[in-house]
Amino acid sequence: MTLARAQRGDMAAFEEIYRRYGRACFQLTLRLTGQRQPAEDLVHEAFLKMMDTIVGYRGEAPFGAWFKRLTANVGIDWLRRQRHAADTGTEAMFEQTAAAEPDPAGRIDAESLLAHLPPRARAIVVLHELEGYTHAELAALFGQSESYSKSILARALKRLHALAATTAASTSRVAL
Amino acid sequence: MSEHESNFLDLAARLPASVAAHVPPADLWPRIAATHRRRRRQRRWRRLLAGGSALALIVALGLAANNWRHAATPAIDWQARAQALELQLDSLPTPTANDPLAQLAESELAHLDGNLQAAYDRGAVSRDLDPLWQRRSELLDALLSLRRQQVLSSRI
Repeated sequence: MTLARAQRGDMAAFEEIYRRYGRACFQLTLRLTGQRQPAEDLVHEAFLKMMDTIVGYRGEAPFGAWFKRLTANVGIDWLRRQRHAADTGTEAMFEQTAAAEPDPAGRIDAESLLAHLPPRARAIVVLHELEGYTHAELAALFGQSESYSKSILARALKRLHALAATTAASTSRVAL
Repeated sequence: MSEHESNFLDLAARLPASVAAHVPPADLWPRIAATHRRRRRQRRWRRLLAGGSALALIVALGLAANNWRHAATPAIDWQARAQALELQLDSLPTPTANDPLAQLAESELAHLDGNLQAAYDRGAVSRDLDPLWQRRSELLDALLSLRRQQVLSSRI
């Protein structure tokens, strides 16, 4: 009902969709970008794109899944637009973002760990590990080979593991 | 699954809770709606302009086609037509009684012949002569019609 109204361009229906999916959309963009302002901009962009393309939504997939993919695509487009993330090799990408120092407070928080990854690596970790995207899907989304996303994911997880281990060790020392 | 991956999945399990605390700002939807409305208005204007341009193009093409059709239609040679009608008129028997309408037409014909002669004398071009020859044809046509009626009446 709401979708049918939205497909006719009804603003009240769009507002209802925002109330239902706006928060999830924001959380996904926040995970992808790690920063509040770009995340808000991406929600803005994703909703505008959804309002323009909802006429073509035929219900092949649940609306939430369709919209999540649209949001992920918007996020990946944003990553492509970031100069520092564009066309960078795996090694160079990780070298550009220095390994993080452990949190002095000994806090182990996945979100703060992800903040220490290069943007594209962060997006791949979020989409693969949290959103369930396959390497084939990521390869298509990023316009790269599957081995590219596998390689970035392996490097990212290695770094996260090392950082988590260091943070855990420093927490133990503080406790003693 | 590698050690690194299992380690991260443990960490990731806590991630939704940490991100879930974040909510979009309250004014985000009004901003999105305003942008959408503005873009919709712009698109509507663009469609109207495109439609108007298409309509103007169609009208222009129609006018051009009409002009071409008129240009392609062969012009009537009023002078030749008038001369042919005059020959037809001469071939009919001379009427015994003068019809008032015929007298009127003959009078105008005489006046028109004067105008035609004057036009030729001042070197008028065909654009000025054509209406005179056209009028002459019409008058001869009318006279011919009257003369035929008279012939028919006399036979009856």
